[in-house]
Amino acid sequence: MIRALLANAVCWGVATLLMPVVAHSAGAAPVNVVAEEYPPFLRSSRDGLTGPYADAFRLLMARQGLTINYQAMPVRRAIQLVTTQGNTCALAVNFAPGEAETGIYVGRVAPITLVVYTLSHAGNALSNIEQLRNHTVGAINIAEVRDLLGTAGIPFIPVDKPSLGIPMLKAGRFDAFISDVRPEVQSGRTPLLKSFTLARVERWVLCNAGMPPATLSAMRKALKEGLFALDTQPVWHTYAMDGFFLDTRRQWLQAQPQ
Amino acid sequence: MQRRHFLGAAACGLLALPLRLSAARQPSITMILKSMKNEFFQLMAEGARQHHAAHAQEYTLNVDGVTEETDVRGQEVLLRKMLAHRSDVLIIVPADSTSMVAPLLKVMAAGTLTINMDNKLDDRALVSAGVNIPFVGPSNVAGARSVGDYIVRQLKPGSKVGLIEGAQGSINAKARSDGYREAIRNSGMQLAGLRWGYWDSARGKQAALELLDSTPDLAALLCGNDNMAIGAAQALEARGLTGKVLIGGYDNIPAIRPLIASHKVSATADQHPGLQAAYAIDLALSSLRQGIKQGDMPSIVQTPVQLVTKV
Repeated sequence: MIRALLANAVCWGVATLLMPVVAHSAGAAPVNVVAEEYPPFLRSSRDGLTGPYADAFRLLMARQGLTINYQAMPVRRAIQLVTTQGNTCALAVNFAPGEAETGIYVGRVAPITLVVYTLSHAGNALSNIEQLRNHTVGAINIAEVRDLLGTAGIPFIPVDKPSLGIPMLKAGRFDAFISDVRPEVQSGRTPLLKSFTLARVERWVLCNAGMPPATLSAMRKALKEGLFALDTQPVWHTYAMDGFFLDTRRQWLQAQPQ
Repeated sequence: MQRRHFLGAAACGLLALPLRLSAARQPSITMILKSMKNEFFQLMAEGARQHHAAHAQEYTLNVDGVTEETDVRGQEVLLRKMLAHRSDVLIIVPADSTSMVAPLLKVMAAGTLTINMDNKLDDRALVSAGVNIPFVGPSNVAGARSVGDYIVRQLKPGSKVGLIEGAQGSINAKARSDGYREAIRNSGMQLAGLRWGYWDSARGKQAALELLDSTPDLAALLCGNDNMAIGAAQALEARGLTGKVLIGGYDNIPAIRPLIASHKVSATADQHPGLQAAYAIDLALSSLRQGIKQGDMPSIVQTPVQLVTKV
């Protein structure tokens, strides 16, 4: 009796796992996914994009029966493409209120930390947002930064290409630079000081407004734990980022609203 | 693209309307607006009533609203009233894009089809709640950018421009500011500062006075709605600066038209509130008729927005 019940449960489990695959694989066109390079998480490759974000996203979508075609491009072009081209999504973009009126933010993919950097030899002892007021501030041009600095009435120089921010800081264009880019990726030998953490926000998947509801529903389901679902651990392992994966799971997923 | 979306949605709506709903009784639609003292929402309510007058056989309509722009508590009271009357559809312009999500979850749990109009609910809150609430409305970024582009074209390079934003909790307020910022950056102007006017003329005037006083060489004020632009025009008069600082508004309400005609306000954007209401009702009726569930409704139905100037 118990064996029969177990067999039944296994069959049911397998059927449940296969159901979305069957539902989506029948004639569903691959979803075009565009993104800007974001080392070490996203790098352009012969196949479009690689890195833990790209591989984990592909894996999670495959579990829902969705196939992905990747293309690397600057974020502005990626967002423009999402608003004009059907069956297209942008991966790992920042939230912007204006884009939310013309595209659909389907799910969170990863947390990011906005950090205030200064040059360690510059002698700027900054520890809170108020202290930025008397300095030349550069920042990545995202809605959350605009909101935080705008609310505090602190002017800043927006940097559209985040990878240019640290070089601009080194060149003395700003006293402080606010970014989510991991400085070890691009700081070289110049010592950078992580003055303080400004905020923790998230990166998203933004899709075309005409995306079929069934596809959106499958994507929402797949992204419940962003790109840090347990299923994606082998992906992070191949990039030797197990520690980062586990830390992020512990800190980010536990903090998320249920 | 925007036009294509609009026409597509229009076609769906028009096709849906001549067909009688199959339900035995007429479906009931409740529309909850904000700031009924604002002419913009009066026009929106009027658009809904006109739609109903033309299709009175197809549904019943109840239009309600709060007096203030940010009265979340007042809207919650109206939602409870609506739940007691068991409306089939709720169309709501939320007083706040985030804090209204929780009360709307209760409405949806009661089986009421829920549609968001004009001021978009925050996707971050919707994703956390795991729900789809369709948005019917314009791209506020595009509308504000067109107003901003028109104003900055008349300024000297490097001029200073101030922003007066609606309310901090509103997605459309932030979207309009982003549209204005784009116009400022693309033209090489300088953003002098931002203040909140909370959609209101008196507080808009106060915000404008602060910006004028903190930046004596301010060249333009870009406002998140016409009421705040009216307040900004009053601030210029108070400082003897009429005609010296350009003003941009948003909404094209009747009260702004004399100011546009006299060049006291240079431009505004018309996002056709009556049409927005009609499109939201069409979406509701076609969804009911086809038995489409909340989660399967289109997430966005875009409506038009256009630049309005004297010329």
